[in-house]
Amino acid sequence: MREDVLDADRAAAAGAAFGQLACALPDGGLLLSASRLVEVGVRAPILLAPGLFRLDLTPQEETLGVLTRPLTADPVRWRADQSTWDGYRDAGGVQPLELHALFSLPDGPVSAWVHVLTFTDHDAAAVHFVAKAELRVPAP
Amino acid sequence: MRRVVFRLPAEVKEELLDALLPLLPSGVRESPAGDGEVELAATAVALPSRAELEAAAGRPLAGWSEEDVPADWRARRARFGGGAFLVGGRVLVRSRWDPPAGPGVLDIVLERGGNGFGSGSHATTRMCLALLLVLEPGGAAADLGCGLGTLAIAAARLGWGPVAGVDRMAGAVEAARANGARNGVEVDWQVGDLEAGAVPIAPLLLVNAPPPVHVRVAAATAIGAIGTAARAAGSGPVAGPAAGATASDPTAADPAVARRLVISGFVTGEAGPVFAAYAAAGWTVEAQVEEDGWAAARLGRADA
Repeated sequence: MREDVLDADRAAAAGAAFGQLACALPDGGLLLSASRLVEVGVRAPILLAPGLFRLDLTPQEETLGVLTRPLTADPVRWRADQSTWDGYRDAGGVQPLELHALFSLPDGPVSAWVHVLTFTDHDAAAVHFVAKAELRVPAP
Repeated sequence: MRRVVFRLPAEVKEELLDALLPLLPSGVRESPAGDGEVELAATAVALPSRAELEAAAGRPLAGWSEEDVPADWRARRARFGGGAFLVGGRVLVRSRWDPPAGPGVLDIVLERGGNGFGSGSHATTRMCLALLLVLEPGGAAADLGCGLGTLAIAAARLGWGPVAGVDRMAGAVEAARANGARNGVEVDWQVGDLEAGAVPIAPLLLVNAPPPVHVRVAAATAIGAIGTAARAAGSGPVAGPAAGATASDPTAADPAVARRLVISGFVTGEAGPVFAAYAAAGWTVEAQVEEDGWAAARLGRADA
């Protein structure tokens, strides 16, 4: 149900192990926010939207493994802006990875906009991720 | 620092990770374990107990082991690896922190730098290496879009020579030069914009680059691209001037000299136009592979 997946308390509890914050958006919807430091080669959960998806990232030397794990049996369609495909490898700036999703839940759709900033620390063989997801009931 | 290792059946791995990852926020390293299983390793200062993880998974965790490990990632990398890529069982591309290759395996040590590409973590690099491995070394080679120099270094180590490497990014070429020295090979490293400048020609061309570069390589290697005056199959400039040269130029590269191409750097959806450009230039596909949505191929001359 849309009420459940947009519940901040539920999302904060689900992502508590990796420090995820959750709060209501002023104009409706839910904001998830998290910051993580992940070693190169390690797959780590970054964002968790219970009942919708979990975002796992696996940083490599020059690629970023992105897995949007569905946590619902309802249909979902993901897309990534092509302009962000090479953002991870481009050392010219901290470019965001952007993903969009539309979940078709039984009582109506929920949209997700996921935004991830990366900063690679070669000396630590680790990558900092700053991620957020905005979940909303899309306008009809 | 603590490290735990266990195995999961590959067919239910994702379902089990739904339960396990919230308990392992530092994440897991995954590696194939054979017999349809995946080995997972988690490292953190504090980790849940085996009983806690098994309770979450709802099943025993096979292959369980745990031990104290150094906090410093270099010490852990030296012991457990994690930054190396074995290609075709014959070439290991690794950082200097990973354990060296075993006997009979070509050991290529790379350092990243200059935003160069080619550490082996990307499918295109691995596919190009695999396609290169089956070729009998025979003459000069040029790595067009060489990045960190991986393909050029591998070609030189496999017996191709002389070898040239070209990239548009000066920082990458600098890193490639250092990598060449690190691996004890002599390569003519050059800074060049393959989308606008000269396209060097050699009997073997390794082109792991975006589609626009392939269009230019196809044009530069097309029979008749420069003229036929200097055509002499089987020999020619290693990596001299080519596209843009004239038939009257005695130093002009001969497009017929290019006998083999190993290409990648484009996704499967871009492969059609790339292959069409090469087909129009007289190339035929000898082998074609795909991985993670990326395409690679080895091409030969239709007129060879």
